[in-house]
Amino acid sequence: MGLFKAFKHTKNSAKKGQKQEQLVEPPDIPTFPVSFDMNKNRRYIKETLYYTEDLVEKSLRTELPGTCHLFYIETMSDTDKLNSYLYQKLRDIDSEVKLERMLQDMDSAKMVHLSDAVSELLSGKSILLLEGKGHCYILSTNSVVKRDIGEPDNEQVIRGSHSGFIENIGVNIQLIRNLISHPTLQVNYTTLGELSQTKTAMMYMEGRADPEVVDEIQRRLKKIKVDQLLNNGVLEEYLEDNIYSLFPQFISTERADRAALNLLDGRILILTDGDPTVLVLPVTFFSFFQSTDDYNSRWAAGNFFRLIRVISFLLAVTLPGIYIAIISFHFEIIPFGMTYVIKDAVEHIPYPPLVEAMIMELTLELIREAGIRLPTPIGQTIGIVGGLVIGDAVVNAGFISSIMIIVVALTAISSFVVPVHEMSMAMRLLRYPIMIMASMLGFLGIVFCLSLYLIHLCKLTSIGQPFFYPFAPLNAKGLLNRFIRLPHTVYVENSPKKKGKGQSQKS
Amino acid sequence: MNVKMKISHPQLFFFIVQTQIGVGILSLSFSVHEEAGWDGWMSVFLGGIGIQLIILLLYALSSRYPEHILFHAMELIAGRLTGRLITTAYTIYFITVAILVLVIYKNIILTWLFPATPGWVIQLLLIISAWYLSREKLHIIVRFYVFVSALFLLVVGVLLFALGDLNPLYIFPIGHHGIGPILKGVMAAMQAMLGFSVFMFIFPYIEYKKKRDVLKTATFANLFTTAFYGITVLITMMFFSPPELKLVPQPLLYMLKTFSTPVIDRLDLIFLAMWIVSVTTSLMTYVYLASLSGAHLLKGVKRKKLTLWTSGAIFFIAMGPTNNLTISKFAEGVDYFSIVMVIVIPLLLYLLSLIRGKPSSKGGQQHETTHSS
Amino acid sequence: MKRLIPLSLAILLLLSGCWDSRQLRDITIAKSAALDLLDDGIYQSTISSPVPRKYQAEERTLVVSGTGHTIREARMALDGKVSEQIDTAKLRILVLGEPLARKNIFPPLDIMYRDPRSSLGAKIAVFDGVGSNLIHMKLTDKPRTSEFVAELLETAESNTIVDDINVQLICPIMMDPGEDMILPYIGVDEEDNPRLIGNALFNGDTMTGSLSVEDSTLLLLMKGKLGSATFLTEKVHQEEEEDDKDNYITLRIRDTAASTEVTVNHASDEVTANVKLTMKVEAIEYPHNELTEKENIAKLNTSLEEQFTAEAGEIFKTLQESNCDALGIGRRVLVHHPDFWDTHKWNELYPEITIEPEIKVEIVDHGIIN
Repeated sequence: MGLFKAFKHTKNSAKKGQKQEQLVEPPDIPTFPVSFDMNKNRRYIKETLYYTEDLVEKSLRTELPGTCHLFYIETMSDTDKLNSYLYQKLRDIDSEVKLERMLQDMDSAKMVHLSDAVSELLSGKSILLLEGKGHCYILSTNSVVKRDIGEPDNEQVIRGSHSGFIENIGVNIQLIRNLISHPTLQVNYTTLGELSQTKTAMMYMEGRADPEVVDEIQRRLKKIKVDQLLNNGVLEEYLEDNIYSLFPQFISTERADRAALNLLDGRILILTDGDPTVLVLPVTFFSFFQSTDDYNSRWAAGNFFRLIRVISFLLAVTLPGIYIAIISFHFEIIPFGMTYVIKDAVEHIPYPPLVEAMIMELTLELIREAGIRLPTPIGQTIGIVGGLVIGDAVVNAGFISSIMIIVVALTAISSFVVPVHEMSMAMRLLRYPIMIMASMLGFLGIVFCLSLYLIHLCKLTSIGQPFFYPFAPLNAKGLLNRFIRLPHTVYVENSPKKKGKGQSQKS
Repeated sequence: MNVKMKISHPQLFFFIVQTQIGVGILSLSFSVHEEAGWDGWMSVFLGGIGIQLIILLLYALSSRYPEHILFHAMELIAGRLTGRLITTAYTIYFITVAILVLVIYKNIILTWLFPATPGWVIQLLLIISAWYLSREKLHIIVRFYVFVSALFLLVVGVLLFALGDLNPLYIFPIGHHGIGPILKGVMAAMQAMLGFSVFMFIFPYIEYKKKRDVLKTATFANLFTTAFYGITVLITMMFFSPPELKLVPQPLLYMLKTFSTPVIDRLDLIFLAMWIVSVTTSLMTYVYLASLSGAHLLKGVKRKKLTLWTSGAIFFIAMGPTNNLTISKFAEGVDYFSIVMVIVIPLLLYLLSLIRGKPSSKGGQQHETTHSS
Repeated sequence: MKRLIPLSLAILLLLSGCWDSRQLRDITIAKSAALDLLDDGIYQSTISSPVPRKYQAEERTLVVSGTGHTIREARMALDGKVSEQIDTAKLRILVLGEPLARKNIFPPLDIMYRDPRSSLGAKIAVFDGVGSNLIHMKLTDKPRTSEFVAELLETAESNTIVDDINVQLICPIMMDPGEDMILPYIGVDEEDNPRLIGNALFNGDTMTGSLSVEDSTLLLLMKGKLGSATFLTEKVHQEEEEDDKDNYITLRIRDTAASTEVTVNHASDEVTANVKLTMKVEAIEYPHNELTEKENIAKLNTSLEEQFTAEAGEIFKTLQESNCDALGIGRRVLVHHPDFWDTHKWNELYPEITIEPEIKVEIVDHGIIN
């Protein structure tokens, strides 16, 4: 069957990819071996960098015959380091052995190809050229600008670790390694982006992560062809199984503890240099409703909040639709006491309920979008103006019924309950088809939309793993492990057999 | 077939049950009451027993060729041409059943919910969701089926509501109508239970340790459906007095209309809207089976593409019958067609395969030889 | 999903109309309705609907009547009198005028049963007079008649004066040849305020008699119904005390067990029904204060039993006179003696049968004093 073939195909090519990886990566710039002619080398470096003005060349003299030439980009390098380590030490060099030893002490690397060295130069290292030698040395003299590992603003927790990722991939990996000091934790580097040459790392726990998934991710990473890769969002779209889906198929997080927990669960992380968010994959639908808080608070409370989040999802997606359906089709279902309250409220509204709801939803999105970019104090003002003034005025003016305001407000609150931002965006979008269908066919339209969503969720995979996992395919033990948060002391055996099965139902 | 694509036993269970339970349950007690009066509930249980016998036959047939899709096995048993003819008949049968399901539910929605809405809109909704899922692989389809089986709880909830207002005396005296009408009622009940046969078409897709396990699962599914239907019929029969039941074609919905809760009044509206999911699952199965058999007939056409065609065909043909009388005649025709397709042809095939002798133990090789020949 | 987007767009274009939408704001919701039969055989339908607050000047409800040969025609006549479309899907009370109830009630109710949107959960009651009078009544404590009547009936249900029924729940009984229904019966008191005056007795779908409030409770108890707050008051002393008030006891019914058994004498075509009722009661008001003595309690039990049995006998007489088989004796005959049922016309037989009450009373509690 077609899909199966496709799967087989991907597997084969994954193997091919692995073989390729063992070879030297194809260079971006034509190779240029270090020439014995110093001038040729110097010219090469300068020409490759188009005589950029922050490239500094220094000739250094030692006791040895011939001059050494040091190249570095001053904006990228730490001149203090150069001063204290290189210049001072070079003075005492009197033999080649000594030079070699000194360079070794300084964490340097010997390179035969100048072209490779140039790309190192761009990341802030310096090149040391020795006259009459067929190789050069590169020295790590790069200066690194780092931010504090403060708690990310959009993923705050009440109890638990407050450290978050920053824009430096090395620090990020360090943060994770601090949390998991186990030899099975693996890091694989890839450089992506023709122009930006961004370093990305894939982290996983050998033995816990599904090897097939690891292969698949590696294969997909290989296939990526982009000019620039400055953030994870680009990567995400290249890696996704279905980019047309409204549902996010990966979680991105800025929390180190969250990333580590997911690693331990057998998931795989993708880190990009320059982006503090880390991609977690593969994930299931319900991972979006989990917060690290759940595991830190009392287990009953954790479950309760998780339930609240799932209910909030349903509310955010269906509530405006249900309201529209009731007002324009099925007012019979309003219980006796409420009928007149609601009729009173909608009596003078000039618009059809769909338009009414759309106006309010769009107003709300406007307020939200306006508030996000503004500095906090102004943002709050916008919130107050939007929420109180518009809400109140619009009801008094008789544009919108007061019940619609309640519905929209509830929906908005619910859509922000979900801890992951991407999911909350998906929720907001999913709402509109339901509203439209509800205005045409009432409950029937809502159920139709919901069943399409459900079918879509059942079809959706995240790196080949079923997205709607503990529910479709239904797995009772999976439910206990993933959906319900049991006390940490209770353990439900779900590993070997289930894992095999879970994999077997993929693709 | 690859192991990874196979479906497990619980999944098979829900596949069968979801195919069986759909639009039939809404009017089941009415249709058995028409034949057997207040003894109709016995017809349902007898129907379950009858179906068990048929399941045994179907199992015996399909387990003789566990590696082949039944449509291929037919060619092995009856020869290439006859096999293909039978497969064509099955394709037509599946499409007809799908049309029937679509037409009946459309009519129920039109009379109960949206009298002014054109019928094709409702058909379109149902057929779109049926197409959207049935173009997928079987193991994805069953995932959906298992999940939406939670809707059965809805029916259970409905029945619980009625418990307070039952009059058990309405189903007495037991056996008043005699054996003839009860047997006629069995026919009516089996109409709602159609779909038990699906397991034989997807036999090679089932993951099993022993072949017998498939039979066990099919039996459990039959047991569940029979009990589910039986209890529903019993409760509706105790709720409506026999003279009233004669007037109410959808007793389950009618019963719901009576109740109100403090939060939601008029549960029938909600139920009717939610139940379309269960109806679409039946529809999906038949669209899937039709495309499966069709793909077997038309080599080289992708099944995915075929689902679009079959769904389109079902949609357009279903626009035809609008008159209640035509529909009931059509339903009657489908009943007879079902008897032929589910009992007569499998029986003949089975006998033929017995005469031809047991196929060699390595069915796969035989498959290849026939292919090359 | 990628194919869904054009698809849903296509649907959008096609479905530019919303065929069945009924905007809540454009509908007049009838909360109570009355059906009457006028002298010349014409139906009259009266509805009342609370007026939304925004339109209100003085009146708070809108009451209109329309006439026609069928109920639907009468309702069409109503539509002509109200600006918005009238909808009865949220009907809470359906009042039948007595003249109508005395004829057949099924034909006018037929539309309720046939229309998929009608409110089958509506309470139904018979009014002693023309039904529209009840709808027209201006009540002082509750501005809306529908609410007043609904709450009146709900309280009566918990007091076991009327059965917990609605338009649908009476239907199986109405159609069952072996059982007859009783409906709440509302009348007016001296000050022209509506009040519950008991139950209307039906034979098939025709009203044939009525039963007082006190008798209704006992009848319902014998049917096996019991509300949450059921009281019975009985005169237990005939002593020549100057104050008659002291002779009464008020009981709260805690628990009951009721059963009806039917025996058929095939030879003489005689049917005997034995109606048993065991009540566990609590004396909540008894000025005599003599419950300390055990034999007094026993004496009281026996005297209550006698009283109730006599009363039950009276009730059965009334039922048989109205040919109303409220206890479902016929159904039991059908169940246990189907041959007898098939050969006899129950409707003719019922007034002749013997019904024997057998009531047991047990005082189990008497408040916090003796």
